[in-house]
Amino acid sequence: MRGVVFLAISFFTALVWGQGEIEYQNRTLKKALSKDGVSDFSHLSELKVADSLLQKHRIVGKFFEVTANAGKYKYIYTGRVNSCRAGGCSTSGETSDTGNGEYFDYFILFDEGKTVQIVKVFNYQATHGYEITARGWLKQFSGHDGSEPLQVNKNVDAISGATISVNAITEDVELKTDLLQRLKM
Amino acid sequence: MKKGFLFLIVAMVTVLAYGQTGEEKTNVYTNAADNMLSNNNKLVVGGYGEVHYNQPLDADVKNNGKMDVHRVVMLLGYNFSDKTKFITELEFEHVKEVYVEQAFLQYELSRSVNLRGGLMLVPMGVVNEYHEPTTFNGVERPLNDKYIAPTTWREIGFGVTGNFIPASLKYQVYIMNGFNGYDGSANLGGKNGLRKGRQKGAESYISSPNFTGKVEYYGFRGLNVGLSGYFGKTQSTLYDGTDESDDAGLALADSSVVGVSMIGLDARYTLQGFQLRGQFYYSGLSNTEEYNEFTASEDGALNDLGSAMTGYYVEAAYDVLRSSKTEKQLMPFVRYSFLNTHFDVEDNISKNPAYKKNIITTGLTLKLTPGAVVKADMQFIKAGDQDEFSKTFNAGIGVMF
Repeated sequence: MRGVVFLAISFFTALVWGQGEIEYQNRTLKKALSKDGVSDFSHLSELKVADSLLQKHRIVGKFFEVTANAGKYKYIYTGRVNSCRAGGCSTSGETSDTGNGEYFDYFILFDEGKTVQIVKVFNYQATHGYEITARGWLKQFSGHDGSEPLQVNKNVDAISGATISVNAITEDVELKTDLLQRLKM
Repeated sequence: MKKGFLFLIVAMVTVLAYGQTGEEKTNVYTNAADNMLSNNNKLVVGGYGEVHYNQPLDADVKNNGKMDVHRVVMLLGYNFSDKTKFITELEFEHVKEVYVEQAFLQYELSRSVNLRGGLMLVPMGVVNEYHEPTTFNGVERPLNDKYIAPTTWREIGFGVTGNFIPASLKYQVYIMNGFNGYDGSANLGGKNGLRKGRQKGAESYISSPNFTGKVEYYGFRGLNVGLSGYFGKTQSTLYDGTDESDDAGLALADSSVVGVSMIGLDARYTLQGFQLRGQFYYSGLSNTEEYNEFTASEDGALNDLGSAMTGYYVEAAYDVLRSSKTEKQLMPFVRYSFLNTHFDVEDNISKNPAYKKNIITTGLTLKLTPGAVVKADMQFIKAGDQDEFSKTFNAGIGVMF
């Protein structure tokens, strides 16, 4: 069992490696945190996620807790989303594949109550769907706390020509918020 | 040639289908596609298709309806590496006509600079780039995108495209061959505008380069605005073999050429279930007086290419299933379009009112899933020389995967 978990984690690490690693200490995050009074990454401590959860949800990213007593951001999730469904990719102007170049890295900043405050994409590599990086569009996720599901075309506006990325990030924000709320501190 | 093509497509699709269910197949063709697929999924396959029913409605005259597999398209992409990819779009139109609509190699220098070369879509307007049936309302593509910006408009060239993400800007700039304006006979005229001049990468010829580009801004939530341009002279076979010092010969060739300056402005806005769309084109054509004289028919009747063409439309749609739990979307829409290939003409011809069209299209788009739509609409067209709107009922299915 442990061997399987190890393999799973190695596979996903390799997947990430093949694409270039996630830059956890990226400039965009630094700027967002410093606006909140958190001066650098030393005030972040990584939260351990149970192996079973890592494997089950194929998590490519990490959760952090802000240990400084600064502003409103208390938790961070930084991770990667592969923007293609396994087994086939649609092409509404978006050609994607499972793991070669179609992905983006983003982070979510949560407050003390584990409610989404800010979502920002800091590394967009996919060929289409770049419209999801627009700050105005990402504001839709603010206030999400898991009490209501996030649904494209319902409470999340779709973007014509960017169906895959829109669905991918919406799904991921919902999942990671749920996971954070289930994490034991 | 066509049969071989069809066979190859069918073979690949069959192989892919079996490849995914994991069955053992011992025929020769399994190996080729299997190898491609097992190569870290570097091969990307997609496609789209539309089947249409068009029924003119007339109280006085009996009209047969038309049913057509308007297009079936396969999109193939291969990622040689993170930076190098090839994209091709293969199309079957009306079941029998085969076209290659895209075939280009892309190399990424950086996220904001990607080099592209090959057969590419001209970035004019929205529908030319995003022409899959699930991305627009109405069964047929908007008429502006038939007569003014002649979709599917694709030519061979090279250029640069990229995204400045912090600025929420996407740009494309290409240099390509132009429209085939004259190759022994005239291919441009008032009725179809520049449409019949498209070379489509099929043994195209180039007598002068044409430039095209587009800039898109998507910084405001739900809004995407684009500004496109296309500039250059149409091509002529008369330049071929003409001596550089042959002034008369060159002047003759020059009279078979028109200058094209086209701009397009488009906007798409989505807010809370409302989808608004607007498109505006303006084409300035120079030297049309000489062109129309040069390409006059044998009995002396001048050709009638306009010196300016214009077209625009505004469209609104709303998803009435937005507040219900279903994944399906049902969107009633209405679109008002105007186009005129004789917006302006030179003095030697007069404007033909038949080339001015007012079009109202209204109907429903039912999205069963994001990739499968059923559409129905009524289209009312009134040309400038008609008193009444002609009516056509359209219905169709569209898929994209």
